Amino acid sequence: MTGVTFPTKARPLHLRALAIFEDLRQEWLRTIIMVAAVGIVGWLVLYPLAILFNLGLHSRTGAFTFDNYITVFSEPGLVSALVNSIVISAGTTVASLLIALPMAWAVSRTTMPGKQFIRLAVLIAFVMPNFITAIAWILLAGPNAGLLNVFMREVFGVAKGWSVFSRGGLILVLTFSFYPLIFFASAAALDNMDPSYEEAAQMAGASAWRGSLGISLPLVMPAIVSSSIFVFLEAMGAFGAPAAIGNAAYFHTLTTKIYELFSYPPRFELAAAAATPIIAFTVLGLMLQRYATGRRRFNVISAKPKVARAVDIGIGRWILFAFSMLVIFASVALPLFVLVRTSLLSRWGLPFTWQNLTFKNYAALFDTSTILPRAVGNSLMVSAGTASICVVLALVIVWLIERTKLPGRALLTFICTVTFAFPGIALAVGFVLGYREPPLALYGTIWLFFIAFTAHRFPFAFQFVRNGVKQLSTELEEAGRMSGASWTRTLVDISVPLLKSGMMAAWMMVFAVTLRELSMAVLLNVRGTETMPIAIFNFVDNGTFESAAAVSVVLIAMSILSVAILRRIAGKAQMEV
Amino acid sequence: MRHRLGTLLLGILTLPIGLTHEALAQATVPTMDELYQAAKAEGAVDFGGAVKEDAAQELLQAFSKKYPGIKVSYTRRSTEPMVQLIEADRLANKVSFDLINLTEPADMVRYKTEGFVQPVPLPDRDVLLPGTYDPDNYYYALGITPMYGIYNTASLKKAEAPTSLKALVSDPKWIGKVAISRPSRGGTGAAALLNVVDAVGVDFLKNVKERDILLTRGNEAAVSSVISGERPVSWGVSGYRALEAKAAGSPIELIYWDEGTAIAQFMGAVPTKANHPNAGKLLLRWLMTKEGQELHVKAADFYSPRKDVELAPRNEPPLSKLKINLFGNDRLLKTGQELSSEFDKAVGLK
Repeated sequence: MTGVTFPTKARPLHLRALAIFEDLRQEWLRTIIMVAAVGIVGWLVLYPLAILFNLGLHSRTGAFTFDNYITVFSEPGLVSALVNSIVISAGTTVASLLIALPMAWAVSRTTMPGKQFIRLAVLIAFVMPNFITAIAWILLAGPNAGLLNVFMREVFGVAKGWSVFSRGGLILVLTFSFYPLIFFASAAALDNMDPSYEEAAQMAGASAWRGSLGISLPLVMPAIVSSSIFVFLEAMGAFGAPAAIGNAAYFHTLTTKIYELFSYPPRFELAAAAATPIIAFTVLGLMLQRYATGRRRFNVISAKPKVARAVDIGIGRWILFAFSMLVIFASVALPLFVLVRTSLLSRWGLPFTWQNLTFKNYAALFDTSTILPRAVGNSLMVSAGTASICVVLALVIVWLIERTKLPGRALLTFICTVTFAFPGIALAVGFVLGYREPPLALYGTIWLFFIAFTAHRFPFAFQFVRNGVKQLSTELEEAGRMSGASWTRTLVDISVPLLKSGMMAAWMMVFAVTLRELSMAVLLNVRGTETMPIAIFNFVDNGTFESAAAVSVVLIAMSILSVAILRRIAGKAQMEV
Repeated sequence: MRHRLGTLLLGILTLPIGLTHEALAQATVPTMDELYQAAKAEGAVDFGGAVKEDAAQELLQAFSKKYPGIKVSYTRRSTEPMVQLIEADRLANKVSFDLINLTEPADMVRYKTEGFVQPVPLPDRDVLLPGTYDPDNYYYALGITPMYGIYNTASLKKAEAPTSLKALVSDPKWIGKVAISRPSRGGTGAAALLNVVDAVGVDFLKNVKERDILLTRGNEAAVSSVISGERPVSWGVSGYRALEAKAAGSPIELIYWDEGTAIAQFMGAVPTKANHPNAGKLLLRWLMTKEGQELHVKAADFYSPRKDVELAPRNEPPLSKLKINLFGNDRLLKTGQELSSEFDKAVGLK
């Protein structure tokens, strides 16, 4: 039921303004909610960014200067870091597309076996923090001692194995961390698409393959473009994996370079300025997204959703199954195997024998003399709270952008997505500075985590909810409004139930990415506010890989458990992942 | 005559100043009892440093036993994250620690210059090894550790292991065989690099990229790389880490280089605006006592900077029996940092 737009005669500006004012007056509750939401999001995002920009415009002595920004684009080390970031992010995006699209189509539209398993497995890949994936792959593909290379050497006599310490290695690790973004977005869009389009194509004589691919691919293009841009920007902002691999491979990305500016001696001003290119890429990405999606509307959720008939692709289903399993083996099974194996060792580096096996690394999670029990509690609380705040805010903001004609929506969209790829560590400086004095003296408390994580991860909720709203036909809402229902009632009784799966997916995404958030926490945490990624980071830093592995396994298990509970509450059919 | 008298009077008046700033400072050093009473009134001490968690807890338990009524807490971070934590605190006008511990002399010197740390005179400073403390009493080495070379015993037999730094960085057979903590990451790595440069000359940096050295984030990761066999040798890792790993059964052995082994320092200082300044000073001074140092050696596997502490960690030879290269903070600050920067440039990380 594609919406049809009739051309309307342009009204004079003052009449349009009057109409908007009248609309706002009549729906005062909607106005209050929207103004509050815009105010909150604006404050959350713009305040720390303004502080950061201001910092970049001053020297260490406080004098106004452009030197920091000039240095960013003239210092060879920073320029090469920027080039590396672009190349690696582009490589990660292309590789993620190649992996995720066939898998998403297969699980959503075909008779491929094991679809639920594959969805769950991809989710595990997504919730694995990229710095943990990097560590796992260092253990697997270190040139000399990596388990895979040792295996290849001992079994097949391959003298020189593949090394993860390379740009290619980093692209691989980032791809295995971020391809789920494209997978989930594409699969969700395909799941929500009205199958009657494909059926019509098949009735017109198209083959099952052609009918499904030719019709569904263009319809889910907004989701593919959006998620590809997300992957590119996520890779630009990634810190953990580049830090683990880049050092050994003798190269920097922009984020690792920024990280270095915080020590020996710290140059916060230059770090703030160095984040500028990432903001520029975010703006560019948003423009590209807008251009790609154009003015097309994609009203593919109707009042009478149909169950899609799986396309029988014959032997192709086994080829796709083998491909999916290979990806899952490399992105989930192998890293998880290494993590579990390491977590059971009394000391990493010792042989895997009965004498060296222990559960003490897991028992430490209950030892109140360590930070672990507190870190688990903090992680759960902050992640759940952040996810809930983000989804509620996103629902209101997306409605404002997609369902009203208020001016400034493009700017609001930009504000809502600008922090997506912002290096967490640089953004954290803005939060430390912005929340250090009364009445906002929140630095050193867990409350600042909620605020900072919401600002950083809001784009996830925004984009997922927006995708859902874009696919939702306005007819039902219009029917509700014509029956006399208020905006809030229409939203709560009609739109929210239809968007339930999109909101659940958004909540889950924000929960998962917050659970693994490291780059901001590393600067915001003080004693008492440690989270699980901080505990893992400290263990790695301390050289106790076995403890880091145990906490990582628990973190992943918690993510999976939370999603399983959500699926149970929401109902399988309502979940898109 | 008047001129001579004037000079004499001036001499008499300035005599106390000439008695040395140091002597006067020592004269005003509070006793441990006085400090304890003041610290007890503060009620707590927060220690943040690079010392291993379990070792620090053991030390703090002993401190609590000796000085009851002071609640102790410890936050473990290696130097780089600790500096970041401190700097984030400083941005927020906060001070989380009453005693800080770092390996990077550059940061300690900067903190001294910026007034972030305060002097804490020690009554028995003359028992400390030269170069292990700040002449103005702002910071002291709480412990020192040799930057041992290590090798993987599963990959190399004893006879195959290198003994000379010169051979290690010039013989082609060691290309792609060495792992180290990136020198610019902290003072320990810089000390180990300085040791190599002293042994073979600065020219080796020109071709260092061709040596295919594995750079890790910190000493612990370098030790782990050797244990796992990713690289069979390191030219210098924190000694206490190597000793601990070896005692735990990891397949590594120490190398005492023919050219001598570098010594790294773990420096402690009390922030000027510490929340519990007297407790911070009490803890620092207690850690620097003979009793505190002996415990430090046993708990943390450090050597002591005190000349009157003969103990050595885990039955290792005493420091006096080792061929060591103890670089003062001045040399580490100037040459060590410069070399670390050159190293980064040479491998393409600058």
